[in-house]
Amino acid sequence: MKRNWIHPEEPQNAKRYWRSTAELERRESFLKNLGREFPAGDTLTPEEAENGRRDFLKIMGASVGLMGLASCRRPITTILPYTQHVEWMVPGKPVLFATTMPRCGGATPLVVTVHEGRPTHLSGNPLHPLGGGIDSFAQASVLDLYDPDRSQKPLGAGKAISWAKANELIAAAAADAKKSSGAGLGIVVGATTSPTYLRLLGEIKTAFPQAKLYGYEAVGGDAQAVNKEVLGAGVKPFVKFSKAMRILALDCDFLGVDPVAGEPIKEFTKHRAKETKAAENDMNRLYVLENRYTLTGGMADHRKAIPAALIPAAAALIAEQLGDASGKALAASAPQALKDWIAPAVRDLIDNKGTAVVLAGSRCSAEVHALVASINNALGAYGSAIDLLQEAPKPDMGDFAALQADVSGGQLKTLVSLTPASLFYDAPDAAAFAKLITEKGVKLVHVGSLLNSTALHAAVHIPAAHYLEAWGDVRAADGSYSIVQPMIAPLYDGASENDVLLALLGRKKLGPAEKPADGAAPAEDAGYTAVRDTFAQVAGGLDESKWNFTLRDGFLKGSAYARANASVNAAAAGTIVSKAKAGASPSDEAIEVVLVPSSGVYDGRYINNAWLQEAPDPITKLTWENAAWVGSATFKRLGLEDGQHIAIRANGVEIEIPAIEAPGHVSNSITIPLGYGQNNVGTVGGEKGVNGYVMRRLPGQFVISGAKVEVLGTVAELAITQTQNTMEGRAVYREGTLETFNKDTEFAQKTGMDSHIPENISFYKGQVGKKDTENPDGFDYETKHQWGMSIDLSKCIGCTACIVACQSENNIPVVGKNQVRKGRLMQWIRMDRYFAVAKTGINNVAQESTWAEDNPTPEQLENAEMVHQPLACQQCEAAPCETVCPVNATVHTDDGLNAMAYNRCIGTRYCANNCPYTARRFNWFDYNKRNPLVETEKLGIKANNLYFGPLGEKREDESIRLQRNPNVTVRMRGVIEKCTYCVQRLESAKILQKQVQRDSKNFRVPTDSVKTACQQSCPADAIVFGDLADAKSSVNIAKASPRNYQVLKYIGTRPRTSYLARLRNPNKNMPGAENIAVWSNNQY
Amino acid sequence: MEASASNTPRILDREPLVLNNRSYSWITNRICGIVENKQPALWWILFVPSVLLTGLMVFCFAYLISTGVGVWGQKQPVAWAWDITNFVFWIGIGHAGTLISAILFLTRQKWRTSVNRAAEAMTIFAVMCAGLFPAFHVGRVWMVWFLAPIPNANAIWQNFKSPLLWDVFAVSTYFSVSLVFWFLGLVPDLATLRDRCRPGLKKFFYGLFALGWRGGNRHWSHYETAYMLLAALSTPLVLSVHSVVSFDFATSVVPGWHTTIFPPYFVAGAIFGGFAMVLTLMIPVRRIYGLDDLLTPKHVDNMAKIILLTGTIVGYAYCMELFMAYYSANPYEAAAFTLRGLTGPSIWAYALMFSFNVFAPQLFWYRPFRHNMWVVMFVCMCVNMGMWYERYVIIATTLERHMTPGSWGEYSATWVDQWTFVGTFGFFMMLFLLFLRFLPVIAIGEVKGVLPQSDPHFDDHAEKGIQEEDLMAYPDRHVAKPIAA
Repeated sequence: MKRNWIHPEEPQNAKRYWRSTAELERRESFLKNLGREFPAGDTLTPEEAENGRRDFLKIMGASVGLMGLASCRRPITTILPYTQHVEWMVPGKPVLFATTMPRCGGATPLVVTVHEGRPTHLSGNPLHPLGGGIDSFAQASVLDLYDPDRSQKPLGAGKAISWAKANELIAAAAADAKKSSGAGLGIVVGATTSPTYLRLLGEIKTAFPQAKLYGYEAVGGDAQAVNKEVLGAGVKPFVKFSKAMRILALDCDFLGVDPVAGEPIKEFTKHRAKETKAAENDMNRLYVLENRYTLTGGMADHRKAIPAALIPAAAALIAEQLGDASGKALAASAPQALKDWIAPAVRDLIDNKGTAVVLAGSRCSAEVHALVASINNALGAYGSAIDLLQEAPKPDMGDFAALQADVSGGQLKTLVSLTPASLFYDAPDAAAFAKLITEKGVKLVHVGSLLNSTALHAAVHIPAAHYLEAWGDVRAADGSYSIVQPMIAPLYDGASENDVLLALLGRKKLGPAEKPADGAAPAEDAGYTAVRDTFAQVAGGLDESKWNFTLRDGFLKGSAYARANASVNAAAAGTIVSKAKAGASPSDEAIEVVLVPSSGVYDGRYINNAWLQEAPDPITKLTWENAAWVGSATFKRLGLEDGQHIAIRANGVEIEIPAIEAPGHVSNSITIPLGYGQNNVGTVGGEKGVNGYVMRRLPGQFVISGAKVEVLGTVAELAITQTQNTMEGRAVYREGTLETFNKDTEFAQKTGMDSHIPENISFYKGQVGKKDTENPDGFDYETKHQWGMSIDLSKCIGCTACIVACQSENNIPVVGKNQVRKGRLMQWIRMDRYFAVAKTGINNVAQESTWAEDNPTPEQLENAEMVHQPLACQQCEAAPCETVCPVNATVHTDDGLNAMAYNRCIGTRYCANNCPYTARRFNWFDYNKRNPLVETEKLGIKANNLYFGPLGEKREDESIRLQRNPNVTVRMRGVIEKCTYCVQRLESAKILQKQVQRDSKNFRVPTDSVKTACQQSCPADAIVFGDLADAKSSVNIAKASPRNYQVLKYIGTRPRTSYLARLRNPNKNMPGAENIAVWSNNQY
Repeated sequence: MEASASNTPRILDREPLVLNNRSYSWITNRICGIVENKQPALWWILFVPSVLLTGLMVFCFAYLISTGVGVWGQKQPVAWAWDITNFVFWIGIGHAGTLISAILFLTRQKWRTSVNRAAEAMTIFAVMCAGLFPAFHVGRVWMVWFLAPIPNANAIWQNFKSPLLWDVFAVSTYFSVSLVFWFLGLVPDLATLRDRCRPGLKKFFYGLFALGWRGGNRHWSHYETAYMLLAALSTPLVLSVHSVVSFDFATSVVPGWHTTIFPPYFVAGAIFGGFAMVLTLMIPVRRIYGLDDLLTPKHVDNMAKIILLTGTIVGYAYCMELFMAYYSANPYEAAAFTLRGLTGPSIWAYALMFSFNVFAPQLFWYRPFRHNMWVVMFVCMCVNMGMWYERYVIIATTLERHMTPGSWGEYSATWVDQWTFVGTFGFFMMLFLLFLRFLPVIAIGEVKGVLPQSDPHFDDHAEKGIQEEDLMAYPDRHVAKPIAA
């Protein structure tokens, strides 16, 4: 290739020299060849230019080079340094930014870890008033960004169209609506608290006065509508769990998937852990009434399983005892057992007036919310344990019924769907609604990130931007204003909801940003400007430093909602209650079906997130699909086995779904987690589970009674991660009542047979304990860090946030349904879940039952207790895995870690066998290289792709690799892996300390300055990690607790991770109180 | 009181080790004939499937290596299953050979001469089969050289605390010593074969491996010294190899594995299983090749008694395990055995193990059963299967019920597990059939040594005739007496 010389421009006012007249006259023939290295005549023909000597040599050289490459064992990848340094960017060093994840009706404040421009990991924003841990949905949302199956191109009636065409269609629709001043235009929005979004919706209302807005969320309930009537418009109850010492939850999973404004997990669990003797009133107490087990039910001190149809009756009963007789008719249907249970509970609430609250689940019917408002009023909760906040005014929106009416009335021509729900999938009677849309010729414009049924059938589909890709803003539950700042340019040019509204207003073109003309500054993004404008309104002026501080901190200080001047309108509440009809208890013949959002995919929006699909459901431990939860007694009555299909007929529809036994579930009631059964959404979500929405006919209908169940012959193999439900009398998990604790604070160390066994005496002085004159081989606590962890079971609620956080931080591969079925889950943290039924054992001592031998009664099974225990590598000081590794691939570090050298490991798996905690995971296949999620057909055999080895499909989805943490090795097949306390974080903290330390001798990272991923994500602050050699560290304080115990201590492994036994605070007057946490009695 | 002949105690005749008063030449001809004549049809009927199964085994291992250990059925709590079960099973089988050739040699058990050659060959082939499993069961077989103490740039040495490393040394030592011992014993017989061959390729190879054996006194004297030394060297190996293998389990912390009884229990089990396999192979061989006179019911009887003895030791160990689990008052230990035998998912395996290994050999208390080849074959088959199940029970079913109940899971084998194991049988059979085809199945020189004719005082007490040809072979020794009346 010849070089093209770029001649410097001639100076304007200078003497001119010329070589030829041609140059002087600036003839075209001369100028054409001016840039050439060689003069005219030396040019090559086009063929020659293509295959010239230099090119020939180059191609030959490359071929030779590639020949060599092909024979290489590993492909060569090169890391190129930046020739010009990019500000903020040091390869291998992440940059942290604050942003916020918009959620259904709220927001999750986040800190994003960005490696070389790629967001890789999310954690909670500790500066935010509601910050701290985050749940698994937020934790996993970073994977959605890189989802290769994400919607990437606009679609027109299911076919790809260009962005220009999409813009044209939107502009046409807007122009059309403009002519009729908006009549015929409808916009469906989800539950949002984004000020910009709401402001733009208001502007739409101004520009198109006749346009209609509708609010729709797939699993939304009546709470807001009731609050509007009973408490006043825009009044939002904000529960202060820090003050709530007596909580009664009516089908309200506030620790799980039911959004309750407040800081449910963090503040609730704060009152669960006691280190010294405490009075009953110092610890909070939770009563739960629900039909199935939820995370909240698992944390309850008293829980009773009742049919969901009886929740209104229970609410009415409570109200009645507090002097509100409006629900008398409802209360009449309650069975005696429920009355006996409620009476002492309500007495306890009354005794704690001012600190007692009653909570209703978001999907409960209107009368429950009305009754609960009245109950809380009577308990004096408003103003003390519940703050009533005044939200910013929102534009008026119709509900789904109004939308349905308007569509069937032919009033809509264009419908823009901005809600994260999928109208053609999760709407009540979705098939009929979809038909109606087509029949009435409504043009549906759908914005979403999944290619779900709505996207494929909409007239226009616009790929949505991920919240890490676009500017936005949002208010958290307490009203704190946050800016959603993008971390990466949109990977597929997607548009946010704001962008679509701006496009309708004609202020923005969707799709790839237009390249600015040479030299011109790029045009300011309209989405960004819109957020800036809103910020100016919220902050009272666009102050740059304020804007920058808001971006840095992740929220605007002092922007929370003000308290509302509101009181309970008893008359309005009474009217709502009086309209309600009493629900009937289900029977063998008329079974009730309860629809709930699932712990994995919520309402279906996370269906294509592999981490969430593979995170086991906290209750059933089912992954990758849903199943009908059937209570143990009904399960036995129907003669079912796990995975056996049942046909459920209700509301005029029939679905076939595999059944799963659910201890703690009320009889004759079936729970179906929603969100599954969406086909064509991608490799991850497609063909997984059964759609439960089809049973729903009305928007608020989540409990369907009178269902018939038929047992079918076929049995599906479910991907369950834990099949053993009881502890078999082993004191792996320990808990006790506050009373036991007060009697003997060290009860946990005496629980179970383990504590009775004398400690092992070793012939060898191994590297255990502190180094001193007695123990010269011990650990050096003087100059080295000594890492340790404590997990507080009083606080742990059993959600799966830590599992997902660990997966995100440590590049843990997803193995797919097929491999989960085979028991090859790779997640480093296992969330063990045990059920317990009390029985009277030897010497009349109540003890945990082993079910097989005891045949517990249906009553016992309905009210079985449930506990959760997260278990990862315990970093044993005398680690049994280390001694057995023949090649020294797993060894101990000076700072007490049980380290893994992946490239030394040959995969004998002896360590996995010898680990008493089964904490080690083996790469049975190349999970990172070969796609485990697809079936392949080769040589006429159809099987999971993994089983074809080198013939199988390689992972083509490069985008997923962008999520990987560059500081953690991606493991190949054939090696063992396990938790190492996020050793990469520890090492970078030490390196930083070495830089800070300079000449001083203080090589100790500042106290509690380094956190593991699981600890950071834990919304309950149950995990404490730190340096045991640092006397001030929180982990030392935690481990000093009398509740501290080591799992399987008797083996003498000396684990560095220890547990704090769970405490429970039963009310002695409650029925069955004597059976709570019977383990604590089982002392030796 | 009349003095009579009946007063002197009658000396019972020892059952002869070779029946029908066979001569030296008959023995040579009969044994060498197996190698020299065409193989019977049955040989081919067995050999062809064996080769095919060997091919299947190669395919299974190739699939395993190219795809990943996941093609086997192992999973989260059960990281070892059929792989190590098969390893211990084959290693166990390999025990009888060395026991017969070394310990019985040192204890002057003359009857060993008829079985030791085949048993040693079986040992070597079984150890070859066994070695395949630990080598290929690892996740990254191409890195398996990390196990060898080769100085390397990383300066990482092996972990000498790991029983797996002890295994590597124990098994490789055992294999090499057994191979040398076997080969040494073969030398005089190879020379016999060499001498009987017509010149050609065959003669060249027999000659090559016969190491120039001429049968001189000096040769014999050196040979016997070397044989004695090697026997002494391999005797501790018989005990050590399976003890070391048992350390894989005994030194772990897994309840059900962590038991001090394992080393003697494993050695007894190995001898038990090894003898059963020797009988399984030799009973058909003696019938097919007409070796009934050399391998007599007495041999079978002796081996059956050893099976009965070791089987009883194994049964004692089973019961002692249960007792210790109860007596230790350790709930984990107790649960491991309760779950194995009573309530766990694999109690069928435990039941099979117990009945095959403890109940079946009890038939051998009754002499006629020890002499009925069908019964012996039946019991040996039971023991072969029972010993496989014993290892399966110890390895897989124990791991299925590990310490934290939350991680419990059930194991099931895949077709790759099953066909790999079946394939190793093919490999083993192929090697054994080739051994029958090319090498003397009974040690010719040693069997001749236990004939009555070999006794220097034979002629003094001879009541029955010696064959003329024998006299001709050793004219200097047997000149004096003419035979018979």
